[in-house]
Amino acid sequence: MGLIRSIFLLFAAVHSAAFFLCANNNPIVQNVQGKSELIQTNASNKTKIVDLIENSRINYNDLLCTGKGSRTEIHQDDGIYRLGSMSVATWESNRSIKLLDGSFLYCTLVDSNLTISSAEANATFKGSGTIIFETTQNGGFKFIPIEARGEISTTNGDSIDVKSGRMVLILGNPSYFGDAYDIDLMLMIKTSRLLNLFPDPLPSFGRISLAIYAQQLKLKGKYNALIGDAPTKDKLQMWKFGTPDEESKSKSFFRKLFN
Amino acid sequence: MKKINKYIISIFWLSQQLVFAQTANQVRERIEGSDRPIVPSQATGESRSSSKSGNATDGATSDTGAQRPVQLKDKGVSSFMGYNTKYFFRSNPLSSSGPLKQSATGMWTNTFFAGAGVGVFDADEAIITPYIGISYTINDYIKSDLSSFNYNSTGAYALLLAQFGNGWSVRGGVSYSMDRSTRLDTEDYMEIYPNVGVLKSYAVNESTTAIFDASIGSHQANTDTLPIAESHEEELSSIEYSASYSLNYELMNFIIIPKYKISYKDYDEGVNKNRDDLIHDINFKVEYPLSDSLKISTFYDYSTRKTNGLEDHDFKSYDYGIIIGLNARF
Repeated sequence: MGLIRSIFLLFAAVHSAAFFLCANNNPIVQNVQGKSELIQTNASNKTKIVDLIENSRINYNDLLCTGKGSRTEIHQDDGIYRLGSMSVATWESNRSIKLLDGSFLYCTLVDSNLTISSAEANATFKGSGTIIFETTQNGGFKFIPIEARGEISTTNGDSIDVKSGRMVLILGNPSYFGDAYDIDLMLMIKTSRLLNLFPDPLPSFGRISLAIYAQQLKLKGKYNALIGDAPTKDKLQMWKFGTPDEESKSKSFFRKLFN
Repeated sequence: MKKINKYIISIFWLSQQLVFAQTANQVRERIEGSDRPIVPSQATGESRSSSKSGNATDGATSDTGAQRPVQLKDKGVSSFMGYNTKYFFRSNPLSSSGPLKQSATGMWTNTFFAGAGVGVFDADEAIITPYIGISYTINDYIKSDLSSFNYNSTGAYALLLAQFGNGWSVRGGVSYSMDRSTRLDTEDYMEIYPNVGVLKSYAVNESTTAIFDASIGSHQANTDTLPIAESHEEELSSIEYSASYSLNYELMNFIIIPKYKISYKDYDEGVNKNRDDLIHDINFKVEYPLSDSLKISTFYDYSTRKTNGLEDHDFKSYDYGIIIGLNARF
């Protein structure tokens, strides 16, 4: 009888351990390019720096730092997260990420919530899609939906519907929406390393193609400028290139025919 | 004398009827050998839009990507218009059975077209775009003894196109076309063509895109009857099944487009009862864009038709020539 009880207890202990191991749904590292490190802080406030390796799990509140020219891809539940180079981020909880510096991409095909915060700003996205976040010098961040459906809300209670290709600035604390710009998706996709420089293509590739297609159908003109950083809450850098301005070209009937 | 007069009149009438019969047959054959590309490639998704972004931004790679502001239309309503002029040699303009080269002639066609995409609707898994458009083509035979066959074509269409993220698109619509004789100002042919089709485009490599297209439609035609008892004005009506495969290969500034198309037509009216046609068409085209809106092309086209259920209707023909096309989007 004692033997049976021992076997039963051993069986229960093994299953309980397996259950807790499997239930650990912390973010898991799928791909590491270059050098990335984790800064871990234990209960006694001592920090430890470890190299980020594939298939390792990230604890909440660990600081994830990518080096120059380094990038990493992390999965959690149905979400794919790609951290760009020279970036610093931490998972505060499931689907809550603080991006202290740099850029990251988020991709999910199912409707879910994601809270993203920067040094100063904070916003929650409800929906699905492929979105790039990039911090700005003013403490806020750019919210760039490559393809997305849903809404984004800020801590001051404002919310707006998300449109594929429409970048919006999230600024201040309590956070509010800054200026919004429709951006050239075709160019963005051609030039984004977060989209292109990973071995596995994103599962939203088809949706991204559709977003480009829809934008091409609606396209009226392109500005000869590139959007840069936002050094203050009132300023956004624009890098102008080429002449003459294509906007003025688009107004001429004969230029439309012969250009 | 009366008998002679009657005889002369009857001979004259008969000869007129024979002349008419010959011409009607030839017009019929000309009609059957005519292409009717009413819907331009902009509306079917077959043409690729220019993706040039300008040299200033080509090197702007970064983790996030270059962010170039653009201006979009609120409702997605867009319009396009254009003009194509085509000057070409046709080896068998009347689609006569027998040798490849019969009554060979030059042809000059001038097409004016306009259309509009009336909105862009996001249906989650697909982008749906309704299109409407019209066209008018002047078709002239260069050889003087064929000039009596000159005709003008009018076309119109309404189309609903659904583009999916996996590269497939599905379309359904109806088109109208009508041929009118330039010399006689008579309506030689009219058809209503409800049709559905699918198109898949995919990149073979960085410079090559492949396009597969398949469609089915019902040509509900109306034409003059032939001077024989069983002829019926709807006998050119048919059900058409067609499939094509083409490659768009970019070589420097040239676009090289080889294309193969196979069509099967099933007729069921008048003299065409139990008739079916199998048509093969091979086309080779080289395009050179002079600007975003203007391009010059040269082409070679070879087609054959094998007809069952009707004698002496097989034919083969080839065309080659140049096209200058002007197309503007608004």
